[in-house]
Amino acid sequence: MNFVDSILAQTIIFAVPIIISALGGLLAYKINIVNIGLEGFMVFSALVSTVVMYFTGSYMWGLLSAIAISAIMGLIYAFFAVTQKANFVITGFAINILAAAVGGFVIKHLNTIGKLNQNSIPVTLEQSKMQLIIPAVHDIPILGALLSGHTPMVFLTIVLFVIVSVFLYKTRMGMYTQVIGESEDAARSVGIKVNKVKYIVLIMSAVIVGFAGFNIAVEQVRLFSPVVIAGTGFIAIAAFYCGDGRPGRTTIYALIFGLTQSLAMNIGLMNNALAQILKTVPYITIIIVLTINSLLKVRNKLDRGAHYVD
Amino acid sequence: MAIKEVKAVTNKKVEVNPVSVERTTSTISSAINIIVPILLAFLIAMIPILISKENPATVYRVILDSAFSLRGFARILHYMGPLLLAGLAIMISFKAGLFNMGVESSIIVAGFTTAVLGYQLQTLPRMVLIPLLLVVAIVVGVLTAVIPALLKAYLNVNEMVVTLLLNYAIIEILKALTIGPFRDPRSGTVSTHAVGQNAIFKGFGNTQLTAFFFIAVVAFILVWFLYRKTKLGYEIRSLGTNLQFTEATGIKVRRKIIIIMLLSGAVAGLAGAGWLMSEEYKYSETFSSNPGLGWDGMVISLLGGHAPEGAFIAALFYGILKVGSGRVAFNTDVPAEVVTIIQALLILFLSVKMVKDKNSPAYISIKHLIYRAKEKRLLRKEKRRAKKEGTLEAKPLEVKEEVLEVKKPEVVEVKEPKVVEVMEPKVEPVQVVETPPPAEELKPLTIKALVAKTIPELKAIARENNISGFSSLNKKELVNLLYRSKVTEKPNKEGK
Repeated sequence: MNFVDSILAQTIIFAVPIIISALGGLLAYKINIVNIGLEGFMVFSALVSTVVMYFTGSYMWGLLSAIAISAIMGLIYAFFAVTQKANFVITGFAINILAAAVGGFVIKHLNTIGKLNQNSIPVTLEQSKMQLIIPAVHDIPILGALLSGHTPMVFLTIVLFVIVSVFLYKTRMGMYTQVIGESEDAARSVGIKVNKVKYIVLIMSAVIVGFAGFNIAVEQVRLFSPVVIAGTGFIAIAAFYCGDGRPGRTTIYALIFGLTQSLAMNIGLMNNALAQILKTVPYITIIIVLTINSLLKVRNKLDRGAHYVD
Repeated sequence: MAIKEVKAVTNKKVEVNPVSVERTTSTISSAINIIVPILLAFLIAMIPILISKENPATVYRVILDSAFSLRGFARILHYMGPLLLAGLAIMISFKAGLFNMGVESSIIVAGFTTAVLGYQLQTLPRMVLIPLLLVVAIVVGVLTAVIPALLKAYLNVNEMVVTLLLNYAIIEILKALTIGPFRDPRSGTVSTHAVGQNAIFKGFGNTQLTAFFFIAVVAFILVWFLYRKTKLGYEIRSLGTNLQFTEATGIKVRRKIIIIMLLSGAVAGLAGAGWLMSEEYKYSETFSSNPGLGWDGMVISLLGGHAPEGAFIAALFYGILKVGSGRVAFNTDVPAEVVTIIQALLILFLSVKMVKDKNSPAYISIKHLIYRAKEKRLLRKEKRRAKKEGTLEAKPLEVKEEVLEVKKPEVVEVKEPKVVEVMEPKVEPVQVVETPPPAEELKPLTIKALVAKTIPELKAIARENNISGFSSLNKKELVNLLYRSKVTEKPNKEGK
């Protein structure tokens, strides 16, 4: 694989979890809930799916358990954020810390009971068994790197993108979601069951985010440790912030962030001295993108306090 | 439902001071808001403890044990210093509605700088070096907060996302610096050189308590003063409550946002320096441990209800947890992660207000209970007083003792009605009271009967009995007056 090929392939690899989790996050963002806990949702899904796969060795069971735990987490989060009217920023944050702590605990516990003797939970299923190769395009230089040889989640990303877009813009529930985002009181006044819609959206969002955790732990890193997600959740937040909560733009930003990560990593591979510093590039790029994005937004606002209020 | 009940109570007994009820209710509500999450967190954390086949009671005792020995307590105070400062750093910004997650990075940057300078300048005398390091740490902490502050103030970039991302970037940069130019090659782990002896806060006696704790306390007092007594403190609270309104009143919101973020960074910087100079002595990847001092600060600020006094108590509590967590891993089979789980659960439950605003059912029912309790206490007091006065005055008159005894069966009043109505339809002048009234028909009202009436009823009775000058009296005085003048009640409208 030459340099461009590997950058492209890695962009896909890096971008996929960002896109998936940003698509999930933007659903919650549409009902005015910025879910800081994306990271934690991913850790939980990664943890449960790796543990299940560690004991069953089955990809399907892993995926199903990831969906199940994500739905449960979504339900818990919705209970706190909607029913209990909690400060959802702090709830999300608690979920992040909780996820890392539970992850660490499970690993230690598996070690104590002698089922494991290392600091992470490995995925034993071979990667080649997860890759889907499309024969027709596999050997074409650039297209091949882009399209073929990926794991199921990569293809699921496209499906999810379509699902989220259709859901938001073509279904009744999606319309309700947008109305609630615009004005909750207005939604209530026309008889929309706001809490019900919020629950549905948050659980959907969590399940989608769970796919991202599964993708990172099982298909990419192929092990679970409490830090395996490494900030993807926050990058996803930045992505849907920049993309204004629209699936299309969000995906584009997620791809840009994936590209910077891939570039940073590939350049780092060529030059070891810079490798450590280059790790900061994606984060700094995102901050710059956010800044430019805000610069454009702020210019068009005139009302009082608009400069300070989201 | 609950609202109705409260109103009913209000109508019946007006005497309880509503302000004091409100105050007690809000105190109790905030106590519930803090105690219930703590209990829930400890309750749920039993699950992982039980999974590890340990007795939760033992584990919790191990956690809390250290608070009961002198050395243990000194250790708690030692941990408390940086924790308190981290909590205050979070509090300052959160209270203003700015989610400055960069407290963590301010802490580690300050820690790193202190470590490097404390090693490079170790020849300086103690009296110069320590203040210098502290000042540098504060400056560095401020510098770390500059970027998000400016971005938030001028471009309204979400400060939370920026600070979280900057945290990652800063951790990577510091890692690179620690691996590269500033690494101590003799150390087995990746870390900087340890600071010189002159840059270390030494423990008093054989305890771990250092002078830094007192520096932290001084900083706490300063922050408290700033928060409670100055204009800036007021502006911080005002910003967090309603930003648009704050701006409309002419406060320069931009400048305030910057000042608050930088202040938060400064306090965080001090925390980082203190942690390094009194505990870690060198910077490594695990400097602020897991999940990090900044996040501990968040729990402390939350526990303390985003107020300085609360943060002080919360930091003490958290110090116990922190010291306990070290002991847990040491003395039991439970992994130290359990304490992190407790911490996460604490944050989770603290994000919910168990008793929400003043219109929530929980708040109203608490208010109702307190109202009842206060009312009961007042009544009891009243009765006791009346009894005392009654017996005092009874001696010369001698009739009253009987009255007091008679009052036990409450039915007395009910017996009176219909017959009386016909015989004595109207007014009894005050003088009549002097001559003992015909016992069967109209007895003077007993204290108990009087106390049981509301003010309007009492006033009506006074009016009936041609007593003047009662309009400005409160209930106690009314009851007294009426009792002393031995009024009778005209049984109006069939008994009730």
